[in-house]
Amino acid sequence: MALETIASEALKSGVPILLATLGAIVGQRAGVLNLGLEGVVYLSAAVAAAVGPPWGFPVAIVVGVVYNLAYYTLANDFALNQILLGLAFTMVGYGVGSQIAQGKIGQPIEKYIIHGVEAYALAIAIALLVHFFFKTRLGIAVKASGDDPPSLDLMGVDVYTVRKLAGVVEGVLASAAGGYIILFYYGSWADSLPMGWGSLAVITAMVSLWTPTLAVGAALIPSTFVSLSYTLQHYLAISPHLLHTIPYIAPIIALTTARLLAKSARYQPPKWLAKPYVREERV
Amino acid sequence: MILEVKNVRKVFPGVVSLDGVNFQVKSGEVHGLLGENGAGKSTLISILYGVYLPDSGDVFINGVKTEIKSPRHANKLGISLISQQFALVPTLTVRENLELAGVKLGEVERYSELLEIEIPLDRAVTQLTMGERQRVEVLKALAKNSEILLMDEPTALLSPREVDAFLTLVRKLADMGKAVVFVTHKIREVVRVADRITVLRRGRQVGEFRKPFDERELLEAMFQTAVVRSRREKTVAGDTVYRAENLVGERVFDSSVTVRSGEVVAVLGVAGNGQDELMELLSGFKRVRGGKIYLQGFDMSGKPYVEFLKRGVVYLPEDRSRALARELSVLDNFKVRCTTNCREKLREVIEILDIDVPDVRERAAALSGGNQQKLLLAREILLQKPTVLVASYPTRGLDMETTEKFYKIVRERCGAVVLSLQDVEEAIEKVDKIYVMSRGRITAHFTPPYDFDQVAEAMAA
Amino acid sequence: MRLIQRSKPASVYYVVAFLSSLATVLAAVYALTGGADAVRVFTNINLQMFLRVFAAVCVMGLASVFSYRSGVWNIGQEGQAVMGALAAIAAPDVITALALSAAVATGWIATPALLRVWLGVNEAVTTFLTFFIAVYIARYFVENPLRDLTKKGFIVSVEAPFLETYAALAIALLAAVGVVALYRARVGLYLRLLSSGEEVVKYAGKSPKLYTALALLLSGALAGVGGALEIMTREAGRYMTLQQVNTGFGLFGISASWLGGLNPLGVLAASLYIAWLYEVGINLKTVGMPALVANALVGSAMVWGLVGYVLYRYRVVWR
Repeated sequence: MALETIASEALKSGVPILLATLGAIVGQRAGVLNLGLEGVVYLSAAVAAAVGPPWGFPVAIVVGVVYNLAYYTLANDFALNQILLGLAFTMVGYGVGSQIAQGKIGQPIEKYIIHGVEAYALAIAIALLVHFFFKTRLGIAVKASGDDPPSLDLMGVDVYTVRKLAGVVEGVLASAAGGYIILFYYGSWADSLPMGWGSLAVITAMVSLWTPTLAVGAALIPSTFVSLSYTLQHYLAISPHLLHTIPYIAPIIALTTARLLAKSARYQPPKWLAKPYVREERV
Repeated sequence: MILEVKNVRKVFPGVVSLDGVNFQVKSGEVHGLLGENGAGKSTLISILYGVYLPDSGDVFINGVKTEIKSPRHANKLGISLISQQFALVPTLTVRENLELAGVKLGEVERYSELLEIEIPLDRAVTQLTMGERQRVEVLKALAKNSEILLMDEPTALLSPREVDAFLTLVRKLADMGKAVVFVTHKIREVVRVADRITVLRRGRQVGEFRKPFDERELLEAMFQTAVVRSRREKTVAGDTVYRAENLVGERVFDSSVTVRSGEVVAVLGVAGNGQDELMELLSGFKRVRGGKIYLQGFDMSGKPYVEFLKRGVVYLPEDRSRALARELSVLDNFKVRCTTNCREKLREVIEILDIDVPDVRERAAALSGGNQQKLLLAREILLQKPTVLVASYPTRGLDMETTEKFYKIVRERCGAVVLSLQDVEEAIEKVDKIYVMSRGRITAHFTPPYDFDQVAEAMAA
Repeated sequence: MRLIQRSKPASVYYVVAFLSSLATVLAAVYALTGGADAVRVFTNINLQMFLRVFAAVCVMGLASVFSYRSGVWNIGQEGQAVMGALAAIAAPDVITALALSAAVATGWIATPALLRVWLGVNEAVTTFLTFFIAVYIARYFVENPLRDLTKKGFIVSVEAPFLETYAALAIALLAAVGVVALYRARVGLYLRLLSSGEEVVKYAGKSPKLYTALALLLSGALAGVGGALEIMTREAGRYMTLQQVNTGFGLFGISASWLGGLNPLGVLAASLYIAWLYEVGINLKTVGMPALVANALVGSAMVWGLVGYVLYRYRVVWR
């Protein structure tokens, strides 16, 4: 019984992590380490809560994409430090999000009824789409933008445009995750509910070694431990606070293991990850 | 079609790269752009291709003032580039690279037949030799079928036979009505292929020359005063100072090098044959996987880099940014090797090497490339007296005058010297022993008197 | 649009960045509260609180400098501050509190530091995640080992020892002087070399791993002290509750470090501004804005700091 609950819960909560992870994979493959993904997930969740069904989900995606695109423009065209800009976008996302959804605190939001298995199957289908996306010309350009943007630029493909397109894809996936968290998973709003998901996605993208098909499994690591930590509370006499650390410790261990095991060149981080490309600065 | 720049100027930190340069190329002609390292050729090409924006001056296409905003924009305007550094993404296959560049594979095949060049489509670029990469780069640019072709040192890594075929094709392209800009420092090639030649020197335009060309006139234009090229004098070599036996690294196999006191030894080879790594291994910067290194009789095999430093081994990497901290001040950079009286010592070496440093608290990045190189030499060679100097392409990017100075200082200051070089002529002129490297192995060695053809042939093999 | 490197960096753009940030804050607060409230929000300042916040932000800012000047990316100052504050709560007196907070926070950042050095695991991501872990660990300590059992019905921790504001100010200044002195010494030279790449440090004959770890550990240690200073200088309520274990000072410090141009003296100046922003945030709460709004304002200040850094190095050409 308990095991079944854990599995079902893990799949349900795995969906947004997988979606946001796929987004982060596209972004990081393009060479952008976007920690602002946390803010994008949060903000879109808040928008979904504020608007509510049926329009909450699409509106959340539009807002999330615009917000993510703003990050990509500042981080690439203006070369602002990707990591810290991401932190700022997270903070601003928290601030603006908590403000717009303030009225929904304590009110139930109509929730779509879903089943873990089916929802996750749909997310897997999206993972396959992303897998095939990397075989298209744009997908190859995205990979090139993360590995060798100066060459890509000289080939006549505009790196800044490619990265912004990657940002749009990432934004759609991350804000879909945000909308899902409120409208499909919780069905309510509190300031802290959508926190942490985007950050977990950023690290899960690394655990998946930037490979969409591996993300299908990796996305279940944090969500399994999240539901495990809730379930264990009923059985173990350990402080729930300590159990709550597990979903964050597990990805770090997973990432360490992944780095230890993945020696092949295919699984190395994009060479330009977190480095801005400034056209006039030739090496 | 006419592509033209008027009065163009471009400044980089510490150096005026182009100053009031005019340049024009028309359909049906090959316009040679000649100059030594640091003359501004690549900067001009980069402006024509939208990589750099000029600080002032204008670009015209068919007489219409045009701002070339990006390489993509340049492509759209009908301009393509054969890049010196190869615009190829190493992690992708050749096919993916060609696809990204937006060229038709049929066109690539057509040109590869014309040039009798074969390229492996399904291998990752990272697995290709530098020569193969250059062939891909050339075909990629040609297959775009642009009206204007910019070629930045396109023959550097081709074999003599391929160079021949390539030059013939360049001529043919012009006769077909394309406009070609041919950048080189090799007078012989440009004379063979060009309709007119513009010579640049230190960012300034020296002149435009038309057929028939006079090679001596071009040479003088390139160097202004004829630089007296010193020749290797007979050196009295002493005992063996440095001996490396059967070194093994990642791309280096079974390589042995011996240097005697007072000797300058060169490892010669086409780029990408493992010379970079060999220099890292010889200097101790990278640990060897196998083999022995003896320095003045001490077994240094497997010792950390610090031990090599302590024994007076100095390593000069090809890429200066591995040795100099660009964001730190000139003085801080100097302090990396200097512990006492640094300001005074720095002032001294600045004077000796004639380094242009406005303020020692200025960032190293604010110096021109040449001055950064001199600063590095000052710190590594003048501040201390190296027992052994190991240098990776130390003269690449230096103008002739500084190159001369480099050999003079090195002979004066260093106990023994190993360099990697690519230019056969330079090696024959300057060094006491030549090792030839190919595919990670030392394949031949020569001692004076040298035979140019023999050495060149050993390199090509 | 493109960026072109300046031949000489232009410090004036840090002033421009500061003024732009100020304008952003003024506009945002005015839009949120309307005219009458806005003036009060900006000017209602408690000097005592301002100074103690200044001291803490300063130390947090210096912690950030240690990391970013070496080109490594500790962004978990908040988590290290939580651990530092926790150590302070557990300590019997001020001196022990300071030493313990530095030690515990160093231990806290050691995992990301060692993973980075040995396995190349991205430290930005791990330090970020360890923040969430720190929050839960702190909650555990508040509820269990460090709970104040005398306060019945409330779950709060015991109180941290009290530190006078002037002492905190002295510590902050001392830290700034210490950072300046360290950067002038040889160890500091190698730490700064690191920002130009690990190879440059290796070329200098030093271990890049050692200095990478050192930069992160120093950063973590100072952040821990910053967290301890913040909780110990409070007039009242020198304890944590379950709801409030972290205070946002990590972000304040990061913002101060970039607005201050990653320069210890610049950080002192920028901390004055950030401390004022903190007051603005408190005042916003009193007019009914969520606490996270104040954080958003500091986040925008950080963005302006990053803009300042870019404009300091590049000029923007709009063509």
